[in-house]
Amino acid sequence: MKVTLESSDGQVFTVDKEVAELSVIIKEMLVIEQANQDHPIPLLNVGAVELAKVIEYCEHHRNDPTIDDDEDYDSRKKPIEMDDWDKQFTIVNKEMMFELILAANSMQVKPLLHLGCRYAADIVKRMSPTEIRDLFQIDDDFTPEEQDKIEWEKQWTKL
Amino acid sequence: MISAKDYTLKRPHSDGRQPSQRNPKTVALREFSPLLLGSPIQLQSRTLETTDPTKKKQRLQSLTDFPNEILLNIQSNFTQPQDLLRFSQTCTLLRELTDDGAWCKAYKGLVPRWGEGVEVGHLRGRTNVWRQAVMDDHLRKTVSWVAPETAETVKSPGTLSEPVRLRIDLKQATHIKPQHMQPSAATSEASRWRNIGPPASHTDPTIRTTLCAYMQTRTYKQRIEYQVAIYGLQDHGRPLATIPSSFWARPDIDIHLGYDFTPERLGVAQLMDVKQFPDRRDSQGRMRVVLILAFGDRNAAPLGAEDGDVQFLDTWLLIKVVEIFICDTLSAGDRKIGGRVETIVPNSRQEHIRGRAVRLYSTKDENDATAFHLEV
Repeated sequence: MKVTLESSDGQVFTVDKEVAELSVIIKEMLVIEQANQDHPIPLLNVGAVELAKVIEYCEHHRNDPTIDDDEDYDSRKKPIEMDDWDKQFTIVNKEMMFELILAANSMQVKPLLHLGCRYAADIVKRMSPTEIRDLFQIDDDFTPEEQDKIEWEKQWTKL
Repeated sequence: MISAKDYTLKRPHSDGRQPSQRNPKTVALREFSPLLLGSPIQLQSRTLETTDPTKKKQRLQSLTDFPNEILLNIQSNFTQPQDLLRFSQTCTLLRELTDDGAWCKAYKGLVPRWGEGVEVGHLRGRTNVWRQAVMDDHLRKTVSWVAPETAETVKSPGTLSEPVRLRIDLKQATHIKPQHMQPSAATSEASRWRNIGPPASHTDPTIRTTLCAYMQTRTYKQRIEYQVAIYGLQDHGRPLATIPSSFWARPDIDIHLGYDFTPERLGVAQLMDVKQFPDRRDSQGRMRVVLILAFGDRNAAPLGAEDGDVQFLDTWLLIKVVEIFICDTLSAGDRKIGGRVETIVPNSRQEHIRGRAVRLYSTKDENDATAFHLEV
């Protein structure tokens, strides 16, 4: 059985239902909208580029066991496993991966979301706060008092 | 308060139009999605909509544009304390998200044996105890780490270049012998006080003070007497408080728990940890301090007999967790201390506590009672 998905920019993709159902949101919508399966499911926050990548990911992982719906997910308890295909999949630029994370979050494709978040974390690891700010365009909005505390932390931890 | 952004999907065709009616502009998908070529995905339409502003997707400008749940997911990938700390030093949003709950999760990940089952929900947003626990644990394992200078000598943040490391020149070292340990303090029937094992110390980064405590003992003919002396550094001469063994030892009860304080026992005792809680004071303004004392046998039995390796380990038979309230400034007035003692008998829990390092964490349960957690 096929399911049609429509990206925010109007691209329409037809995929196997079991592939689409890796998205928790789509799976739930398919249950609710059984009578309207002829219509594309619009994904208003997911562009065509990202949707294509999400589908590519889901196609590859279509037979993987489902991840429990754990809202209090912590990768330290259940680290996301990456095979060689996943490592190749994540060879994209930062902006693309960020869009993919948003798309995975929006569609609730949890394995992809965790993979993307791990990718982002791996970028940040070992970076100084200044480097993180520069790379991700984050404003240093600490008050002087907070700055003082942070300086003390740095002094104390030698980090 | 920063709230998560709304990324919920809308119902299909809520505007009543079919896709073909909403796609005025056509582009080649190949341009931006080579991955689709040769894939099993069937492309039905190659159009890109740009006219409907409500459907225009905003590109991320910053990491902080992510919904909070994503930032928390990213944060959960930091397995090293220093990564988590740096992340929290980036901006106020990431600092707020890296709350004590996050540090607790990090602790549970780093020390799963002792972190499991510890609930800290009640601590969220109130204290930084878990951040301190994680960083303290990390720094103690870092061989090269040395405590920084005291607050009085720390330069202002604006002039900091390289963190100053303390250097110890043994030629200039001063032998410290607290007054109460002078030979004159000894009596004819007892030896003089002597330190047992290394001191335990705790630095509170918020008030930037360090407590240092020593377990001390002196021997009588028929018994051993212990005490704990607590100093507020840098004053090693006058203790802030001296906790006599009568405060924690209950020989009549302890002997039934598997330990007696007699010379024949030839046991060992050690002060394992001390922790100060400057924000926790009693009605008299005295500061809460928690000590861990361990008593046990010196065990010469091989750990693994079949290996033939003889290892000398201290097996702790009795753990005393002493919660006291002390005056944290030197004063000539009343130096009375108050508090309570909890005795832990590891054997009764089918546990064997060995090793020289014990860390203490205390948390509050639902009934606001203190629960202690030890790390060996």
